[in-house]
Amino acid sequence: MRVLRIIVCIKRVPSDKATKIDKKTGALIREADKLIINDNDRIAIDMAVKIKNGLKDAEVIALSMSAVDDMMLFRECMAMGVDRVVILSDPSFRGSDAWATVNVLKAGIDKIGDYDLILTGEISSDGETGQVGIRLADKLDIDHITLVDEITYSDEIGFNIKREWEDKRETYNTKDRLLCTVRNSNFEEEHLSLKSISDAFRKDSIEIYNMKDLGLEIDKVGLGNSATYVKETGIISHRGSCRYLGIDKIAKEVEISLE
Amino acid sequence: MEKEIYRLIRKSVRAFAQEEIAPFASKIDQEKVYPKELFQKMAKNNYMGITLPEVYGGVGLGFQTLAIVLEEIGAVCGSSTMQLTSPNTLVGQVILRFGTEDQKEKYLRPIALGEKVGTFALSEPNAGSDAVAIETTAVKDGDDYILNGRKTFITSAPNADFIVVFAITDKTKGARGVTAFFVEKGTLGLSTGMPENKMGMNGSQTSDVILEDVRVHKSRILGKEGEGFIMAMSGLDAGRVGVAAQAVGIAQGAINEAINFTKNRRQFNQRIADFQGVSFMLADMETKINASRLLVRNAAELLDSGKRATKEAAMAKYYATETAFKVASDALQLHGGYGYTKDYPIERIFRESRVTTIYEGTSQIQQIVIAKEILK
Repeated sequence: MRVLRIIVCIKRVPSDKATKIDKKTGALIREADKLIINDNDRIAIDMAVKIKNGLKDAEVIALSMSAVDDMMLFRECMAMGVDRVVILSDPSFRGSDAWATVNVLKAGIDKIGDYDLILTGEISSDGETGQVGIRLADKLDIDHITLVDEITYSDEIGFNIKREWEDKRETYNTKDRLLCTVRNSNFEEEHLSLKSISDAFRKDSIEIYNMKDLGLEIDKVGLGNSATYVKETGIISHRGSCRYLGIDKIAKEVEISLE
Repeated sequence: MEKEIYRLIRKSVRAFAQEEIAPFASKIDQEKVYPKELFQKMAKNNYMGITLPEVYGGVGLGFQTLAIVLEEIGAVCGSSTMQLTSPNTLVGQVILRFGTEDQKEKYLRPIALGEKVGTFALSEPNAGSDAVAIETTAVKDGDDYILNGRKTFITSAPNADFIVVFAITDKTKGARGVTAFFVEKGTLGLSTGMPENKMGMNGSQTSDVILEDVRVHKSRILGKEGEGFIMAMSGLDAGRVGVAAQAVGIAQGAINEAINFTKNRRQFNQRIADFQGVSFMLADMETKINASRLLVRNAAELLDSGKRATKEAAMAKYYATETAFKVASDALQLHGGYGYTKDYPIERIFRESRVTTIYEGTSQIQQIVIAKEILK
């Protein structure tokens, strides 16, 4: 039987405790030991692993455009149940915007070859463009469904996909390969066992490809060739105001508000 | 920076400790009962079999991993670390080194998986650090031995499924006349005393073990007859590293509370953390905790590479536990009057820190061990 292959695109982002901005470039500073896997991408990994665990033959591959300074988070993905990690890394990729990132990811997916499902987080907590997933689907010329929070698979009906937006809940069935961007506000992650961590460090399954390996042209990647660039990043300060009301004034204020 | 695997272990155990254990630490201390579900959650994550090989249900990740797990859990709840030390150090290590294959299947695997609780019964009313002075006897009777005596301060005795009891089989041989036996819960003549009313670590019950004509078959001897004392001594280094790591955790928990409190408490129109006198105290605490952590890591690395670590384990235990008590005391001081109330975690942490300089060999015993090693 053919192996069902799921590719999950993941991104390392600064933890919210470690957000620093480079004043010169306006870009976020990424210190390896202060990075985490983007929350929505963790949800995607968990979703992919759950689909895999319900099947006889399935494989989950985590795909990331990333520096290769530190492998801990990729090992963490494997401890979560990912079978292989494919890292796309080249100094030329630095500063890529959504358009250039999609070019790199597409090349990575071509390198991996066949697939049945691609998952990306709905949005990353650093760039917050929310563009990469849907543009990648467009580039790959496959369908996509956004805001997905549940996927199951069976040979009879293929993928059963549920999404939620505003007050609607929709269900789709498809046997075609596709891309889903995922989120889940009710997501609760299980803690990793020591055995899963130990096993993750024994696997020889991290592949790293550079621009040449991927057959990419320099004019399609990196900050200089991106369609957009960050001009400035700043922290917005919220100026809330608050008034303390004495017990005698509360009734009067409530009356005014109701009017 | 720690190796990637240790950083990932620290990260995942910290998340577990903060989400699953921390919310219950105060309740465990007050109710003096350890929740079974929490024990099972730790077991499911393999925390009971960290140092034990995979063939016996463990994960074989060694003492460096054990130290990290004890540190991270100790930072939120001392009682919880008490559940892990026995299977990973004292009991687990002696069965691993001296047990037969049958005994490993029967006793080691269930403790590595958290299905059973085993405990180590050496201390007696008149034999603490001077282990050769034990008075419990085991007299041969056909294929059995009849055990009589009283053990004291036995960790987890009230809820243990089996107890490794050290008894004298030949008084004329001194240290070579001590033998270890597996005694299972429910064996006729075996009972446990009332749990001690302790100062802290209340989620772990400690009591006497009373043996009155307890009949044990010779197949339940751990190792060989007369090997008991060597066995007891062989586990000491691992046990000391365990307590040292626990102490680093407790100290880390104490400074975390102190940092949080002094950054929020304002007096004389400023955070009290910004008074230089207070900040110097915090700097001393942080330095001592880091020095302790490195001593523990050093001893754990030696144990993991199969090297002798007697002096290093004693130094780690001595320094880390004295540091834990000092740091917890200073952290409480920085809380002012609030620190003396049970409303703040530092009051519990302070009590938990106190025992670390006492059990598994007092600080003074550690000093003797260290001195002996350098004056050889």
